[in-house]
Amino acid sequence: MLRLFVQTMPDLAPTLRHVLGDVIERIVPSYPVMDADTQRTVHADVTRYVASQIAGMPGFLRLPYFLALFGFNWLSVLRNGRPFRSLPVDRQASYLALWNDAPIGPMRDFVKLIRSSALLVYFDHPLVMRQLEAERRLPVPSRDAANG
Amino acid sequence: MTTPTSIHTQILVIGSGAGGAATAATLASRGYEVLLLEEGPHLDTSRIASSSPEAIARLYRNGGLTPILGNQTIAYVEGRCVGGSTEVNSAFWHRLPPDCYHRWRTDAVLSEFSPEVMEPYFEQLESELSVSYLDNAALPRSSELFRRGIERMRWQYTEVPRCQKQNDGASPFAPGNKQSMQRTFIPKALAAGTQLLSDCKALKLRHENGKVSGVLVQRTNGAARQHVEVSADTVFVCCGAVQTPALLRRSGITKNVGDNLCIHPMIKAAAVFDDEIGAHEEALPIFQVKQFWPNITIGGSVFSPGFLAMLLSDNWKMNQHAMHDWSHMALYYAATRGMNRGSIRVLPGFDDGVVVRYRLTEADQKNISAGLAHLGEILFAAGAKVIYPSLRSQPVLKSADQCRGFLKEPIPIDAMGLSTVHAFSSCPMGENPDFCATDSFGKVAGFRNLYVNDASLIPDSPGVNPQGTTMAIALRNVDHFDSDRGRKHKGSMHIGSRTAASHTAASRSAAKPSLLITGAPGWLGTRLVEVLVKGLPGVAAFSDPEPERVIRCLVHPSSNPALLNELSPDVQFVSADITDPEAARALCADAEGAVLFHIAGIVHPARRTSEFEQVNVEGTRLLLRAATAAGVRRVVAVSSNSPFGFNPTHDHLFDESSPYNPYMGYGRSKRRMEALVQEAQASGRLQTVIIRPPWFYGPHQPPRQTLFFKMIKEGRFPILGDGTQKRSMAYVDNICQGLLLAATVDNANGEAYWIADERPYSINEIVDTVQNVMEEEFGIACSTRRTRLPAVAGSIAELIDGTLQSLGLYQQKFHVLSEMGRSIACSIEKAKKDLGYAPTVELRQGMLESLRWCFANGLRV
Repeated sequence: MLRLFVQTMPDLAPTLRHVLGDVIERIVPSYPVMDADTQRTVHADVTRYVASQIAGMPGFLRLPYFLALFGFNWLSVLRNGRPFRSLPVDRQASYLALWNDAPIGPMRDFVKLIRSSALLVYFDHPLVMRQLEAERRLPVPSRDAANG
Repeated sequence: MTTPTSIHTQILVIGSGAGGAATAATLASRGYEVLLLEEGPHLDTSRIASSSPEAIARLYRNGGLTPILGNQTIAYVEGRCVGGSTEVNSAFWHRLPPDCYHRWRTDAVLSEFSPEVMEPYFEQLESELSVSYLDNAALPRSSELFRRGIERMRWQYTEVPRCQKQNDGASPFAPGNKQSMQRTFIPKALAAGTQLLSDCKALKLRHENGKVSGVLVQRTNGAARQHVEVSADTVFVCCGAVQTPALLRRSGITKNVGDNLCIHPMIKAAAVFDDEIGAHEEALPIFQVKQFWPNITIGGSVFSPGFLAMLLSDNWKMNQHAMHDWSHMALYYAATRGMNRGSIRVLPGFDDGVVVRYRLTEADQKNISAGLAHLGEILFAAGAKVIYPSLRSQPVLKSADQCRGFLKEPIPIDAMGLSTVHAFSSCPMGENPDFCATDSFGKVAGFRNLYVNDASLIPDSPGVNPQGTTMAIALRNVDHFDSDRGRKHKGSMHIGSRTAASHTAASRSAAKPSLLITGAPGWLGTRLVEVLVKGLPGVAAFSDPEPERVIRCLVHPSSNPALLNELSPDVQFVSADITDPEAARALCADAEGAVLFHIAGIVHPARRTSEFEQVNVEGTRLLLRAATAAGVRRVVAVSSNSPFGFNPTHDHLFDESSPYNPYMGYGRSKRRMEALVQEAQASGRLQTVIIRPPWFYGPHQPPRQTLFFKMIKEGRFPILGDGTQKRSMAYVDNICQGLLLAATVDNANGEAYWIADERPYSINEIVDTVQNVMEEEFGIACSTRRTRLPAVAGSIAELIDGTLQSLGLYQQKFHVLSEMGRSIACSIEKAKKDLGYAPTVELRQGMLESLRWCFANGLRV
């Protein structure tokens, strides 16, 4: 039964995909600077890529990951009174940081997988690469600005 | 899910990576029928950069997200596509370090394994994979800096060669230039006849009593999945160090399987330099530090902004600002020889449920820490301003002294961000029963026909990239398998004769054959051997046998080869069924430059028409493949009149331009046989000639021909209609003349010839001639009666024959009768003109010789 469920599970339910999209939005930097349309395109591509990576995981890992994504969204209610998706951007970021620095390994691993995949595809995205190349010979911006 | 399908093959190779591709290509090139299965897709990797997100998503197993669990998760990366990990790796090439030979012979009790044994395999591979050093290309800036650091440290280093083909003006490391399996052994395997099925995952091996009968395979096509049963005589599992033990364990094969996994844990670091490096535009760095080998190897890594970001991601909040310096940065690694043994287990209920475990030991921790320390020393010596290690919650490195601190105080294991691209030893080979899963040549313990031939076999960590070692071992094991098969077959090859004690006979029997014959000791085959041994009477060109000619015959196991021995003590024979894929390979072994007479075929199957396909088509396919692989010069294939059906009128003669019009199953099978021969000829690798003899007669005839004489004697032979329908007949010596001409006339290559007696005969003439010969030459009283049937009887027989054959059944009498009312006659003009064919025996003489042979052999007419 479990096997059947895992094998027939949809890639990623729309709600979970939206959760994933919000997590990715909080992770990827605002660097390099791109116009809003390009940024939206890139973020959509990054979300699609990470979703497909999760969907491509072996069944016995995929199922816990789906559950973790679901739990990540709804456990926010305990702390913030609302699920992650309904939080304002700054509170989403602090909630994500909470998981990122959690003393429980699987919580950290949950964020790590999304973060590393998202950053890989973000910075290797052709539109981002083009912008990086364009900025290559410009003076290096201050680190404080980048952190923002 | 669709209806299960089944496939049969002689050799099934599961996995198309370094081990599988080399195995498939080598076996196929030696005439084996090979089916190569690959779980992943068949994508053209020359168009995908191997480290791009697209490659990671499409070419890597689990999108690159395969964890090795333990006291710290290690990311394991392997390919899952046609070509396996060779499509995604850096194509570094290392020979097996010398110390491994002695250690493996001692620890694993590995036999026949020495540098001398392995040298030719490494040489062959280095040639086929174009292993070379960077040439005529600018040294990558990241490598230049790295080398500067090493030299300042005065440490040993080396340039590592790669599998690469350098094209003018193009980067030697561009995707299309890397000599992965897709550009080397897989095309070679396909050219040699290997069938490749991608998107096919082997789920389970079917086995019983130490023999694997096949594999349950899941074929994926988009969202659709289909189960396929693949049966095979021999199975090679080459799925890599993780998937091979997983498949074996899923199939209940567990002894020493998946218990001894070795890996090379690797830690990475990004260095920032003052200068622009542009590492993303450059080739991979090419130097490796050997100062701390075998426990630690330090080198450069592939770079892209995405890879850099991934490395920084563990401390992203703290270090993301470094991305602004991306063009001044390069990535490096310190790889260590894992000191522990990991395990591979499968989760019941999940086809992809493979749990890989490896627990880092204190020694691993020290080696990784030391590796990062030394890497830092090199990079700071090279001018790095700051180093970002893949460590969680650890500060960036700002000095060599800080790095050397790891030598005194090792890095906490849970802070390490580790990965590995090298895994092996999960099914070690050797004769040590406490440790090894296979024998010294990859045969799985307790099995007769199951082999492992990939990195799983490597007994322990070689301390270098294992691709070279994996491939060299694969070739060695295939050689052993092949020679083992050869030995077994030679066991049934009666080399020499009953008098083979003589040195002359023995040495000659060991000689390479110049003539190969299938279909002996059948009717025509036996006569051909006789003619070759004793000469062809009445034909000056072939009247004297060539004394040094070595003949090898394929003899059906149910046949008695004694007759061949009686003809000549020097005739070699291979006892095997032509439908046995092994038979053709054994027949053609060492037969480079030989001529093959393919006479074997089935005209009247015992019961089922499926034998037509098995013997006449598949047998020919196997034979042609083996002949091509062995370098046989020319194949003279004996076909039939049946692919052409019947003459439209009694006066019509078939010639070589007549269109195909196959009659029943036999005709169709011979038509397909001709097509295979023509394909082989078109490939340019084999000369071929097709000979089409109609109704044979002559010595060594089968019982049905004796029955023919008996029926004429008793007046029971059925004559349909008025008996004026024509039949071309071919006395066996005439056919032998045609065969020998076809073998020797250069211009015959690629041609087909009708070979028969000088002229066709009417049915009445045939019956009258046989009766006269019996009466006049042997004094046999024959009935004057003739059994005459209306022509419609032939049509009725044809109807019944056709109905039966459509049901897969065969009844010889209906089939023969269905042909008796029709003309089957041909012209031999083309053979006369091109070959100089001149039949020397006509009907009366031929029938006389046939009857003489019958009586001489005690047959009663």
